[in-house]
Amino acid sequence: MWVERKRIHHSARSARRWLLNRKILAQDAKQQLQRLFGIFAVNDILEEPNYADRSLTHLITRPPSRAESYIDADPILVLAVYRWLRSHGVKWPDLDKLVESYAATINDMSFSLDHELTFPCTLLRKCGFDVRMPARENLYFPSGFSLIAATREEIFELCRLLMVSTACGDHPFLDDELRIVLPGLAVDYACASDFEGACTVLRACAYIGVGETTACRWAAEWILDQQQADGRFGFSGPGMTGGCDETERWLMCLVPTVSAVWSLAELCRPAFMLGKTMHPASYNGDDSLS
Amino acid sequence: MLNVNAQAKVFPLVPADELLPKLRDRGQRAWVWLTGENLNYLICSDLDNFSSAKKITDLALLYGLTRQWCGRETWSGTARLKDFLTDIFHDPNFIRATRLSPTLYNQFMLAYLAFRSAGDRIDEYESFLMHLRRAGYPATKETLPCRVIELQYYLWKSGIRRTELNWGRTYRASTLGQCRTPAYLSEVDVYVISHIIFYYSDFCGPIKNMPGVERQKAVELMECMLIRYWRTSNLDLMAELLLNLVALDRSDTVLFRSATASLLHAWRPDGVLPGPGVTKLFLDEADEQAVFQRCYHTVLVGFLFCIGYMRRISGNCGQDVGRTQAYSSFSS
Repeated sequence: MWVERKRIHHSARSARRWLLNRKILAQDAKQQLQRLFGIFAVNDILEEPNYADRSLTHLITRPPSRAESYIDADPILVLAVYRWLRSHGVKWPDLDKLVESYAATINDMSFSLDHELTFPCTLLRKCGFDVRMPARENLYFPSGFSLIAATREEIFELCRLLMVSTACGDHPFLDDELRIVLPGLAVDYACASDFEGACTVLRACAYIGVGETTACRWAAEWILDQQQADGRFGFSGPGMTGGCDETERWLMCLVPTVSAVWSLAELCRPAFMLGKTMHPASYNGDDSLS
Repeated sequence: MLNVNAQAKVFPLVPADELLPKLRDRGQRAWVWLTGENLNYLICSDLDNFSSAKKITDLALLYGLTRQWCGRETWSGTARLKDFLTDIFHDPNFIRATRLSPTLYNQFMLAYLAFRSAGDRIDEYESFLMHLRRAGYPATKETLPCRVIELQYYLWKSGIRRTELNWGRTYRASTLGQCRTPAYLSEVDVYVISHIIFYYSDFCGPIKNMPGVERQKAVELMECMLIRYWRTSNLDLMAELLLNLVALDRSDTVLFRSATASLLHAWRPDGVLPGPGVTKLFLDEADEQAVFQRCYHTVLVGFLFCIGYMRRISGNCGQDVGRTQAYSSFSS
């Protein structure tokens, strides 16, 4: 293992404890999806797909009350959490409707599908929906060394494109320059204390098959160094030490914590979201939590 | 759609066979800039000032390395450079500053040691070196590991120490020897690390007896830091790190050639390689002395990179070979 496995597992367990804080029940669907996705990532890191304590059961049996806020949620997270919940026999009616609408929209498209839809379509298929797939084609990205001059936003956009186009690394990707530059960029972000930058680029490194380079190990170790004693990730700031209540503090650290465990999960097992195939109509797993 | 602005710092890869003439050309122009009229700006400032002494040390080192690497095909202007340095070392203020502190082997003495490496001797300093030895120096001096390595290097180059640096206890105690991750390195730390490689490699290598694990670590660190300082357009550190990679036998990679292409493009036709934070506006509007003060070190290290690469790749870093070809290739 390129980073000490024991350290990753300890960190993941601690992050899961923090994510499962029973006192906080986010009403916002987007936040709830992020939280569950983080737990899902930790379970994959720890190779505990059926992990279910009382806190988790409590969490997943209470769908968000403000379902309209699903509209803001990242479709990738929606699909990943949907699949995970269904694999545990849990149904959130509003979430089911949303995913069905994704599948219907894709099948209603009369033109050829953009390669950016590769990952959503792959996930939908894994969820048992019979959707079209974008045609396999050669992917063209900016030259790796052009990233030297790229802005943070451009680099984040490239990382997103790499995720959706390669289906988190499930589809082979060949670009030697990106393989050279991206690990260096992950370290660059760590040196600059840009937590989200380091996490995002590190995931992209996993997708293009360079997650085990020394540079990625340095970036991953730096991310692990940023974890706080209670398990959350994210920097302490004025707003985190006073002036806001426990829920607000928790919400401030939700995104960085989920981002960190997501990156670690991708490094441990690229395309972990794709996991095993399931069939929602007939699924009757033994690991039901409901 | 993604629209990366690739124009700012990234340029087409220079084919391997074109790199040598281009580097020779930039080296030529840097040499003229360094050893021409600009030399006078070094003596305008107080000679007993510590930062002046650092500049003199760098210049003396450049003189010594050029003599050593280029041999009989030494660059025109070398004799003038020698005369210039000799005059400085005979300056009463410089001699006084060298002898002032008994804790010695200060920056002024290092400058003389660098000058001595070319085989030149000046009696005042030679007698003082004897006094120092009698007083137990440099062993009496307590110093940080990186300074110990620097001093050992200068003592070896000047012929006072007989053995080359070894990868022993001092190396292991240094920033590079101890470094486990670059994530927390400051800019100063990166300079320290690049200088450690300079001293162990005699600036351009080949490096002898470096343990494989340490070499691998150094290469990975240097390449990561090269990407970092390329992004911030720090040409000073870029030139140092590229020279380190030459010494570590990593000059045949796409990363090396791409970063070198960027460095070559930043080099101005008058020989100036802009120092850290120096803008085009500054270069256009500032007077020559101000430009010299801000760009001196970067041009010097850029020149060392050029001739270091030439020495390692072609075995020849003389000025005369291919001069016509080099000038004609500047605009290409």
